[in-house]
Amino acid sequence: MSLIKSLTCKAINFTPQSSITFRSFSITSIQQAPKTKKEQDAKKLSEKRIARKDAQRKALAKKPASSSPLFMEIPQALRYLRAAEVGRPLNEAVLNIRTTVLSERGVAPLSGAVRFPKPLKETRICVLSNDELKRKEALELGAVTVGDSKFIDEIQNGNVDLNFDKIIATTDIETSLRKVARILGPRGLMPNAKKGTVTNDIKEVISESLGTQPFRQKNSCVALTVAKCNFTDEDIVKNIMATSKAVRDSVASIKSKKPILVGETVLSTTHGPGIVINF
Amino acid sequence: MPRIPNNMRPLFLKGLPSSRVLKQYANLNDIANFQNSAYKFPKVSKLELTFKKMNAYGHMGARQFWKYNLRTITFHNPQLNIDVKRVDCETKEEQLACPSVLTVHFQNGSKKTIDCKNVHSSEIMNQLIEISDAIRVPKEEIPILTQEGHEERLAKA
Repeated sequence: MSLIKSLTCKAINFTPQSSITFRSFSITSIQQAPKTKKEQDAKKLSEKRIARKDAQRKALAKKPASSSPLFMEIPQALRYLRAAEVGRPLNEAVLNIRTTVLSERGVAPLSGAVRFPKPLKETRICVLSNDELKRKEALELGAVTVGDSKFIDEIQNGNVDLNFDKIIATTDIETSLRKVARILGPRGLMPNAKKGTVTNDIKEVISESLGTQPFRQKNSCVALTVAKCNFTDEDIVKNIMATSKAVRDSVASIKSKKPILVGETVLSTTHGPGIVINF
Repeated sequence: MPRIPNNMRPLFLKGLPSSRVLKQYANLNDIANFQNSAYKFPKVSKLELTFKKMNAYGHMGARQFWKYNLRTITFHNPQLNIDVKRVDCETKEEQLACPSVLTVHFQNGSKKTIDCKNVHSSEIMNQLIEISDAIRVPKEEIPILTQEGHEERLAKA
């Protein structure tokens, strides 16, 4: 008690050395003139308008896609979109999807990644391992070729067509890789622990490098590139279904008091019109 | 969305309705049924169009042909191979020398060319129809989107 008293005494007796070290702050708020009735009415009106628009958007999202005036089945929509994209370079003519996502304010934005059945960019992966189980696993995950130490000898003899984008090796085969370093190194294919291509966790590396397309909600929309115009209808539908599943999964994973609505989905191309589809 | 006054509408909206949906219907109908372009080409295997990137020196017809007529041709002939080459010319000599040609490859291996320099896009289309024995797509097969059609579809469902 006495300690506090002495401290407060000190504080009261404190005199500033200069005006720079001591500043006074005012904590009372600035006095404002009361709002006129006109301003209050305008504010109420704008609030009402926003609420009405939100309700409209929600009602629209609950309707089925087929009730939209711009709705089409996917093959028919693709006929229009491919026509709009005629004569464009292949890397320019891509199909995009835009989905409206309606969530309450304050809920974390939607985000996730899609693994396409037919990726936009093909990556050829080769997996080298002495473990038979791992080789089998790699083939299932989407590697083009698998091999063991005999395969490395063949690389040394120059019997293998090195048409790969990436070579992944497990730690047990790493030592025997040194003899082909001169062949793989200049092509940028040499597995390396620093690059993360020498690992026992093949699953993660393959799925990472096979190309997953990330997506993120922005202004109540999720937009991403799904396919190229020269893909077949079947491939495009499969990719769209994979996207739909990924978006719905990420909606389910987010915690929110009120349910998040997935609304109208528009399929479009770089130069083409937007067409509403079933998602 | 505020309505744009008529005198301030951009050129690409010229002649289109102001409603959002009707405007899109008009765009889609332009793809499916551009004037005098809904033809089928059973005897043609490939169309090859070459022209300069900028309009100058008579390359506008070819560009417009690509922009409007070729879309409708693709819509009705999805299997037809269409190749468009837009040449980038820097000097004036190159620009004057650059050809503007539509090459038609036939199923039997022969080919014919149409010179598109200083020719209107509709004229290119007419010449193409003439040399390739194109068949006009019947009216019933061209899907045309209308407000009435949409209401009918809703009533059916």
